[in-house]
Amino acid sequence: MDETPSPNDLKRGEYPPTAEMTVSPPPEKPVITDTASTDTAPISPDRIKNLAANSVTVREQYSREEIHTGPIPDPTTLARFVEIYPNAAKEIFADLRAQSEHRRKLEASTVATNNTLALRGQLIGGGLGALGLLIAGAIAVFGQGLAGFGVAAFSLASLVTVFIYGKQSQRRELKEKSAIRDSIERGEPIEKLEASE
Amino acid sequence: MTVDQHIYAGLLYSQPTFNKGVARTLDIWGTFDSYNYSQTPQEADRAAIASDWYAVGADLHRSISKITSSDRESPRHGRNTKSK
Repeated sequence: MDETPSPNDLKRGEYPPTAEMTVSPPPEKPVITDTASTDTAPISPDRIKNLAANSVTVREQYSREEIHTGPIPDPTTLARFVEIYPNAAKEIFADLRAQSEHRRKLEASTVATNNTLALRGQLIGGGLGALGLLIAGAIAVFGQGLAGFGVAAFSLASLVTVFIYGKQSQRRELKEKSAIRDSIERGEPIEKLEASE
Repeated sequence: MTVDQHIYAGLLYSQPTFNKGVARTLDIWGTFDSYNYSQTPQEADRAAIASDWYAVGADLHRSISKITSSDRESPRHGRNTKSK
């Protein structure tokens, strides 16, 4: 006896076990849901309960990203360092302080040396310039005015040349250092900086 | 560009030299010296501290490269190569 139920006895979603099945759209009007809604408001707990009650899986996903840059680790990382090595924070801060003191001493020393060299250079350069002018004057006194003028001009031209050369050398050095500083500002890896040698 | 071993320590100013000292003979108006200026003192400090740490990194990098290259030339593989 064929116990195949009549299509009218079937519930929604059930199909008769026949070899051929015709799929047709449901008789009622389809419900169109706007899945690209711009509503970004958080889902209320009541709505989540309602959706869960209707066998809808609700998945909430949160992501959090923290970026830290700086000479010392961020507090979270520092705390983890302390977990494995209790003196880590103390030593890192002590190292930072020592580095800062070292840098200030180095800068102070550079300024002091700069002043000493400037004074020494001025004395020697000024002495040589004065000597050149004295010799030029002596030559002129002995009746060789043109030769004296030539010596004086050479003496002054030498100083001007050294000045211009020194200034250009300083500008070139500062430009190179500025490029390295920019690379550091961008956080470029040390390998890349060292490879630019 | 040549990265000097100590260049990270003085990115804000140029190193003094004797030649620059002689050049200062004509620096009557005190315009010879110039610096890599910063917007604020804090920014200068930040840049200087960062360059200090780069100096530490460069030192480590050079040491590691040196050891790696010497290992490549005569690999040790964790064994004592000295004969007893």
